Amino acid sequence: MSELSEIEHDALTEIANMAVGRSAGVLNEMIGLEVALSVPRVLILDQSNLPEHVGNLQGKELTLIQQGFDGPLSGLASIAFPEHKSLELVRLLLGEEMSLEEVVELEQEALQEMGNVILNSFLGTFGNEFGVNISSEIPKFHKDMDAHSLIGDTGETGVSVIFIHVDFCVRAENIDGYLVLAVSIPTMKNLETLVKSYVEKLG
Amino acid sequence: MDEFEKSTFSSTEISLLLDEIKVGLMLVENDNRIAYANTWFQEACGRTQDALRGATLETVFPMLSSGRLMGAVDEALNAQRSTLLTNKLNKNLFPLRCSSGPEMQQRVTIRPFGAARCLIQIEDVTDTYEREKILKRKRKETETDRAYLDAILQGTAEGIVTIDAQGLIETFNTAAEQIFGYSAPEVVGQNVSILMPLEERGGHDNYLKNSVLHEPRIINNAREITGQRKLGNKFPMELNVSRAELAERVVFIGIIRDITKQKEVERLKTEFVSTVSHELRTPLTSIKGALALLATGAFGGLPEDGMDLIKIAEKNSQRLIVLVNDILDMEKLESGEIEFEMQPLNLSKLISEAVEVNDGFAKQYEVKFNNSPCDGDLTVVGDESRLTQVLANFLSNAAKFSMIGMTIEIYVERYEDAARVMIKDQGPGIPEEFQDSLFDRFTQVDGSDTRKKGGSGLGLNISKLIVEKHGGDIGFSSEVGVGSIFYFTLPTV
Repeated sequence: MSELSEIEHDALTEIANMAVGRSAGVLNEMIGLEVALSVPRVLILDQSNLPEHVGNLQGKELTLIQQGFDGPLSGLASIAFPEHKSLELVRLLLGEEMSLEEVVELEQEALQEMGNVILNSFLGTFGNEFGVNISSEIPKFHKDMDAHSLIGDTGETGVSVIFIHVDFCVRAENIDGYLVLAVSIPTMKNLETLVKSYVEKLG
Repeated sequence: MDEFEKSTFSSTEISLLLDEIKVGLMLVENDNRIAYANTWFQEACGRTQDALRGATLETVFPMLSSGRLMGAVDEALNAQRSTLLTNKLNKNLFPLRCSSGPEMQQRVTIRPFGAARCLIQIEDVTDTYEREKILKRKRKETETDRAYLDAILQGTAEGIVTIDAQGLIETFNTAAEQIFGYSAPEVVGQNVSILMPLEERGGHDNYLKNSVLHEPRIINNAREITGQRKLGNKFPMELNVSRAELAERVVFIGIIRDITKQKEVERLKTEFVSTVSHELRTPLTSIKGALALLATGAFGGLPEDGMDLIKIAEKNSQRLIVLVNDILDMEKLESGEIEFEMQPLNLSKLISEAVEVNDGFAKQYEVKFNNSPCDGDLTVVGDESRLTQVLANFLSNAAKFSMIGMTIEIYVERYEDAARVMIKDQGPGIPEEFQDSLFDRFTQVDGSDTRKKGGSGLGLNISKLIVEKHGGDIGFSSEVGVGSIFYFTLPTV
């Protein structure tokens, strides 16, 4: 990400912040309870640097929802439910008494749909802010994945990753946990161009 | 190959292909008008292609306006984003029915199709939905059952410990925690021998090895063993083990009762009875002696009525002495205070002598003993006087309860390594309701009979203790109105 100036980097972080905020709004609506999201930790890095940043995801079996996106920006967007705690959100969503094992086992569809809603609103924010259309595909469900699966198997080098860690808390239900979003973008040049013109417009 | 690559399909053929597909397909224009719906979809919604084509989604399916579907169509048409809508999170999907009738559970995907259209794809997931419903219900039932069983397990007053075939503890209930002083997490996964004193551990390991392969001996049969608490102190416990085969493995369920208090009460009771009996025997002996002297007329004659009273008093003091002696005997036998003088004995000779000695009884009750000698010698190892006591008890009982003129048969049944002594009477028989308690203390079939026939009601209990000390068993069979056969079995040499 050396190609981005500090201001441009900040702008990208800010857009990611906004995207998370919008996703939180969508989550609230779906669950019917206030889901508080922390200020996200946003990292923009090269895929080769990902391992040192996945930190507490290391060695975890992740439940992943991934969807491809295309347009001026293309790549793979992932949402990870790293711990059983994260899956509590889905249980809330379903409003059913069920064990978390059952959530993963029986509610893949619900998880997939929830991930789809969050990722679409996330990608939508990027599209809106950059003033471009980012199309998305139907999400896919993967379980028992490791942290490297977050960026998918691009088969390419030089892939950039927007890595976002956000804590959530549903006070009414005394549930807290965290989610991880990763957006991998092989077409870095395009992202740079979009960010630069975004900053120019602001300026 | 080349020809194959060149082959193309006509639009009619493609349309026919789409109509064969078992999912619903619908193309929607950017003004929300339906451009195409395949046969599957037409059938599921009960409308023809003509009724669908050209109409807007919201006019054909007004219910969609309250769900997320229209928003997703909008997003696909205007922002090129794909959306998944499932039956899990959406109430208002298409009003479709399965061909078998019920409302269809759907998985709907909406994605951009070209620049100005979107493709809606509908899958019928009713079967999966029903299967999941059954699965969830079953799971819930299993959970409820488990909670129910756990409540019983934890709520019961008996300690319950389950172990696997290696002797490792799997569960340890609340009562077990209280008995042993360990918490469940402390012992689960440990060998069960930590609940026993060191000297009993080896024995238990062998026992377990045998039990895995065969039905263990103490299954469903309580036995008393020594347990050891966390702090190291030993205590008497009653253990009842059962064996269960669960999903191709063996588990053992031990039910434990701490009998420390019970043992203490028993000890106190025995001590009390023994003390009281001793204290009673001395004055009783002198009363009986004095009465006997009076009865002989050594101190001058008494009026006839007075003499009758003295004789009644003498007879009853004798009965009291017998009772006190029996009680002392029984307590001594139970506490193991009595040493048995074990020696080889000729069983036939033992029986003959006993019959002879008790012949007075037969005369008194006007019955006959008929002793059928057994063929050859039978040797048992035992205490002569104690076994004679058992025989006397059986013979006197038979005499007492037989009717005048009847014969009592005495005979021996031989087995490979045991002999059974049988005493068959023609008495009134033992009613079924008394049969279970016959060998208990102070049992006589009819309370009103006691005075008529005499006896402490301890004879059979004492006999049982004696026979068991010899490694034998004791029992009877009886039919009301026909008679009874009392027997005891002893191992032969």
